[in-house]
Parts: sequence; structure tokens; C-alpha cells
Amino acid sequence: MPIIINLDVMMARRKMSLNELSDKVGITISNLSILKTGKAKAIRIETLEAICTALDCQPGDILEYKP
Amino acid sequence: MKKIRTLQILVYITFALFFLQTYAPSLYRGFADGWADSFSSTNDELNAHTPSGPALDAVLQGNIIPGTKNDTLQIGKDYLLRDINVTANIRVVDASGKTPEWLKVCRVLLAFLMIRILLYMASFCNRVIVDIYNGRMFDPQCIKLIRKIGIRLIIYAIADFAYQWTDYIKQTILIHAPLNVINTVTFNWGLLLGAMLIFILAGAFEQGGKLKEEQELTI
Repeated sequence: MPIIINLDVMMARRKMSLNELSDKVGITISNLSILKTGKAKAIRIETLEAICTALDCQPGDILEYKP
Repeated sequence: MKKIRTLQILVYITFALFFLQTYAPSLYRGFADGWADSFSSTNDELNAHTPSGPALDAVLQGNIIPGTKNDTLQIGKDYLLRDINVTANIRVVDASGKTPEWLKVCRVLLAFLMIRILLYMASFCNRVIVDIYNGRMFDPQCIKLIRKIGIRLIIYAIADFAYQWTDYIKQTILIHAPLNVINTVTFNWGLLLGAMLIFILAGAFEQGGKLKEEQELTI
């Protein structure tokens, strides 16, 4: 898939663990893992918004398009 | 759980009734004929030229009825019967001796195939019911089972058609003039339509499975 999820990069930059992000965003660790490994088929706007708020970043920092 | 059991029992009852309706009369007649023959053969020479053996269910042209001309018969002043067919249970002298071996083998094989398909379908229906009640109806295995039922339904329709043809061939070999056998072999299009509906259902379940997977992977 040409859309790459850079969630782990942002988490490393913010020095945030998966548990911490899960608590802040309010979604389960397993769902965060699905998102992180690129297995997710879709992402809700509200989830993206929550992640951006928790990591203090832009959606473009998490999602990258590589054709 | 009660619902599943009830449905499973209903499936088996339906298949058993279908089996009884389709095969039981022939099985009973075969048994009764065998029973009668075993007694008549021990009797005396009186039965030497009496037609015995399995009876043939045949449809004959109506010209064997006295007074019939070109399958048309006038009954009194008010009625005229046209295209008369006679359905008869015919017994032929030395029927089993005149029937070719390959035909007998074909008929036995087809009968076993049809019974086996029926049993398979009953078992598959049961498994599909269990899958549906356990919420696994969108699993690829369940969809595969539904498709298998459809395929077996088509095979059953073809086997049934072939069996009818063997019946007709047997009748044409054993029955001669003045009797004329009419070919009543028909393909069961209802079964084919049923199979098509099952394939459509399987396709819908497949799409449902994809939607479910997509929903599960939406974060």
C-alpha cells in the first residue's frame, strides 16, 4: 500500500510508549498495533484527531504517501 | 442452542421426507416383488410364463386401449379424449435377463451417488446452521460450505436426469410393440434454480465477510 503510517516514528520522537498513547487516545493497544503495522484498512477522522492531539503533530506527520 | 437443535432436526426431517418420497416407493416395491417372486417360484409350473421380476413404471401411448384411434377416444356423446397416455406398472418376462449388465451397473452407481449427495447436503446444511448461530457465517469456510451445497445440488440434478434416461433406455429395451413407451425424461430446472440462489447467497456472504473485515480493521 502506498500510504505509510509513521506512528512509531512520531512516538519515538515524542518518547511515548504504546501504553501511554493508548491511554491518551482511548483506543486499545491491539488496535494501535494494527495501525502501526499498516494492517488497518481505514482510519476514522476522530481517531486521527485524537492521535494528533496526543502526539502534538499534524496528520501529515503520521501519514505519508509513497507511490 | 435450542433453536440450532430444532433447525438441525428440521433439516434432517426434511431430507428424510425427501428421501422417503423419492426412493421409498421403489424400495418397497422392489422388496414386495422379491418377496412375491420367492413364493411364486417355489410353487409350481403354473408360474413358468408369468411375468416376474422388478416392475417398470412406464408411460405408454394410448393406442392400446380398445376403440382408440390415433390416441383419441370417444367416450359417450359428450367427451372426446385426445393424446391419451397410459401410466402403467409393467412386468416383463425375464426382465432381469434381458437388461444389459452395463445398464444395471450404471443405475446402481447413479442411485448410490444420489443418496450420497443427499447425505452430504444434509450434513453441510447442518454445519452451515451451526456456523450461522456461532457468528461464523462470514468465514471463508462457511462460504465454501454453502458453495459446496450449490455444486452438489447441480450434480444431483444431473444424476437424476441421467437416472431417468437409464430408466427410459431400460424400458425401450424391454418393452416392444404393441406397447409404445413415451419418453418422459425431464431435467429438474427447479434444482438448478435453487443452486443458483445458493450461489447468490454465497456471493452475498462473501461480500459481507469483506465488509466485516474492513469494519474490524477500521481504527
